[in-house]
Amino acid sequence: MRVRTAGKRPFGAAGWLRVCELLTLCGLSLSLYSMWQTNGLSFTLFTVVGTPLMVSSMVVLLYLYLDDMRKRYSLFSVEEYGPGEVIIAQGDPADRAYFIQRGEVEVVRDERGKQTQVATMGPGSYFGEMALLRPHAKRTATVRALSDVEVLVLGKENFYRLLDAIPSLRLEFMAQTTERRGKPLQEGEDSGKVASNGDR
Amino acid sequence: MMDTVGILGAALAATLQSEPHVDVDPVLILLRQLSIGSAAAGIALVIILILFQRKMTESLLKLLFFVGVLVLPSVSLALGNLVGLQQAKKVEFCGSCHLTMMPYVNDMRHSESASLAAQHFRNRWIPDAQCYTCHASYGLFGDVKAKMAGLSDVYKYYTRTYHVPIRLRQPYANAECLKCHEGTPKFVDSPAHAELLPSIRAGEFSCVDCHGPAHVVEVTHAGTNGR
Repeated sequence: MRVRTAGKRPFGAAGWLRVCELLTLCGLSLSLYSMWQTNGLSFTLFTVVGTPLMVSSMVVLLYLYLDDMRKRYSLFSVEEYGPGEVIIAQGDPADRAYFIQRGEVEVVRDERGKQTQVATMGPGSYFGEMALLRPHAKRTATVRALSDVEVLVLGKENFYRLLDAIPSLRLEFMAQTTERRGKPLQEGEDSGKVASNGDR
Repeated sequence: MMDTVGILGAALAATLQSEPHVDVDPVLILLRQLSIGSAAAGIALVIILILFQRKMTESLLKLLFFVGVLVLPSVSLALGNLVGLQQAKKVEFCGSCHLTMMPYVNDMRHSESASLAAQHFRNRWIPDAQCYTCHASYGLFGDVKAKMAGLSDVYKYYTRTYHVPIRLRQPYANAECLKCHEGTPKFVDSPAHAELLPSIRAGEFSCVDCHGPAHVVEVTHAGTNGR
């Protein structure tokens, strides 16, 4: 599993930071030369070469700042799984919800040692959210990647933030839970844009 | 390769031979010092970042990058360009292209030269930035045009692609004389001016045809007629 979580990544990429440093160093050196001895060459180098170098460096750094901030305050993190990898395991504590961006997953329930596939899901589907609506819930099924999968992961805290921001979501999730309890997913049933019973 | 060596040599020579700029404007002096200070501090900070980046915490790294790559260079850029543009108007700046411009500067400063430039300089009719005052067009884009032309001149000078004798790109516009002289009592009292004013304004003949030469230099002025 490869995590591409925003906030966990160090500020900017080291390569880009080094580019910023070198561009700024060149630009400032030309600025100093121009101020120390203003002649045709020094001032031209400063305005035509030094200024664009420093401005480019500022633009790159601002982009790194904004990118870092955007990821740091993003509700979701991104995780990638290869075929066969377990995304959530039955019995684990439930603390996150998953939204499938790419690939397919299967929901497998283990009942007395017998594993049964109860659903498959593709892009646009989500799972794991129902357990978040109940305190101290545990996963009631295992979700495994069938192909290369990319999921957006929503932590418990951010999940509640999302529900606060969009109150109607709570009703939708509750309705989903009720519906799933009354109507277990059949093997191979297309879950469409709704949740699986992975957390029930 | 030889071209690069030649350009670097010319740059070094220009740096060593340039006349020192004597600033008398206290604001300009302060801004220049601030620009030098911010550039020097920025360089020191960036060197520290390069050497110790891996040992810094993320928050310290962000702070130092913010100051060293955003704040100090912004100050240096703004002040450097501002001060540089002001200094680029000085005679010393024009004279820094020695091979081509010094004959004109020397003529202007010569106490016995009869050229228009020397008269204006000697009598302090133009107190400062004498070259620039006469050779930058008056108007909204005069400065910009002068700077663009200057960039081209600097390129030609340091790549040694100019031709001697140097010439003006276009005949000297009478408007550059009229921007100061038109309407002055001495100008108005002249019957010739009153009679010829429409033609002067239309550029049908040049001011320097009667009042020239603008410069007296040793190099040949074939075709320029001092304009």
